[in-house]
Amino acid sequence: MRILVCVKSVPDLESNFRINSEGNFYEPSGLKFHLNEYDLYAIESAVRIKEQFKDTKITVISVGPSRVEAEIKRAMELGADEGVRIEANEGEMQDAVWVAGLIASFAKGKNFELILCGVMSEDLGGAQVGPMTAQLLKIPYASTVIAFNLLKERNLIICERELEQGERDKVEISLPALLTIQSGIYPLRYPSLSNKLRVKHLKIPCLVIENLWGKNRVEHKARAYFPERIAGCEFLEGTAEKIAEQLIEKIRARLNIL
Amino acid sequence: MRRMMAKKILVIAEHRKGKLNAVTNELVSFAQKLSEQTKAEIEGLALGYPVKELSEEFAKKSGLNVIGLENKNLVFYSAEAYLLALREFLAKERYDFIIIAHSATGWDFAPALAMALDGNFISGVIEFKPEPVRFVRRICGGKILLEIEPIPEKISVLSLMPGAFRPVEPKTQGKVKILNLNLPELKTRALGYLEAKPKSLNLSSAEVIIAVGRGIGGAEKLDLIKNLAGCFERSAIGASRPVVDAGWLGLEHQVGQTGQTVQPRLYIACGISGQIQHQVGMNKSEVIVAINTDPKAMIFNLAHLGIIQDIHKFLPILIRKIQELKAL
Repeated sequence: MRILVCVKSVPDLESNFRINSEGNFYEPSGLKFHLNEYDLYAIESAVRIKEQFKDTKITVISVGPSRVEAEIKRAMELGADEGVRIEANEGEMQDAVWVAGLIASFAKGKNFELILCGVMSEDLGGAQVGPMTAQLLKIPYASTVIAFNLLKERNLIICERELEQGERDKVEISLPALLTIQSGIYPLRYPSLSNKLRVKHLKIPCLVIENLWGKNRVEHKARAYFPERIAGCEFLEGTAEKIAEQLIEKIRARLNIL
Repeated sequence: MRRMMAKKILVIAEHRKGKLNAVTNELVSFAQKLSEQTKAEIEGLALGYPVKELSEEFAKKSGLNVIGLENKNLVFYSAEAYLLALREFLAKERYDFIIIAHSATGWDFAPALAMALDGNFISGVIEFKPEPVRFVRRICGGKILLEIEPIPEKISVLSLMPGAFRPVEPKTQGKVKILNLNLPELKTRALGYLEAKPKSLNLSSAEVIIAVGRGIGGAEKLDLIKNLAGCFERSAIGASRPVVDAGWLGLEHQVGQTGQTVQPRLYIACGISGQIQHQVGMNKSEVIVAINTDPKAMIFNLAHLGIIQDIHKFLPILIRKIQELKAL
């Protein structure tokens, strides 16, 4: 079975963000990046399938500049067999339509039976690339998958999708298919030492590919800015002791509890 | 040519088990704001089988004229059936804006719909700005706002963040028209809806919730949270999603869009960054206290009292102070 896992490199959200010089996005330089947490669950799902069906090959793909190699390597440490980077600049890698076009262009004709993505990226939270890629490849998909049962001999996968407040719905889709995986589907595991050693000196191939769904990127005019701090929050200051005292006093005064 | 005709907005209802979800009314409220600026006409759309009662409920609650799309494949939700039905319907109708909820159902079909229509897609919209029409969304955990101008010649598909717009009370009742569609054979079989498992912990009865986020650092450090909760009567422990995903606390503790919605008198968020998915579950609490080392954490945008401290150092002091006070 062939599985493609799509991963994204995202900045730590604790970072001190700056706006870029064009004023239309965050400035990537100076930030620390890591593998998008939701994608970890997509990788783990692929690895679980491989443990069940030994002849599975997992390919991991990421769209972006050379820095995203680190995330591809991380995915391989966690169990992907091979990795590939699709060349794109910082602006292009944040454009869901463009990224979906590149992933679909790469996947087309390669007979992946399953494409897995994280449900969304931590930085943008758009939840778009998965469904858009499936749409381009004209394959069925399910998003926000929190449990699945792969019926390989029947070429089917049954998925439970997580809705709000603990509710779910259930769909059965035929392969090839794309799933976006919700966090928490399986507990995450650490990479094995042998995988770490295998990946350490590996060179990740980089492909410059033609986007089969459009020569040029359609760029939207955008403006990025910091939200105004809502004045409603009163910050308590001083030593930890003093803050604790103030907090207790305020809770007592406002709520008459304690 | 497009610009000559009156603009049109389509609002797609979200529903479950034959009843409209509350978010649908928020979509209508947003559409009305957009319509005031763009002079666009608004129509509602419901997909289902059967769809008549649902469409009538929608027309009554929204005041909109509603079209119900009916096909046997729409008994239960599936992205594929929705997409086929919508494309069939939209092949004959022209809209400028399609408004969908940014929920697990909405974000399932909306991006693919936008792709199929070669339209603009803006996900998680929280605000609308006029002239030129722009839509605002949050990125980087709410630390940055992004204002996006759609390409005006293209249809815009928008998914709206639940809770961002106040629902409306309609003055009139809309009319309903049902369309029966023929759909080709599907690769998806919708198997239906699964109820939430009964809650082993009902957070909604707690007067005080001590909620813990990823900042706690591990399950072995939860005693701090338990001790703080022990300082209050009728208290319970809540958690953000990452804490539950990591297995540090059970699902019954989760607060937010995918967990429980709570409204305690006091909500103390310890090491929680305050993602929007968490906020929608707790933003109606009477007093919100946030303790976080990151002064730019989004939680401070809705907290009443903010404390920039490391919970591991601060909570033991707070607990000691409360205990001292109680001993008096």
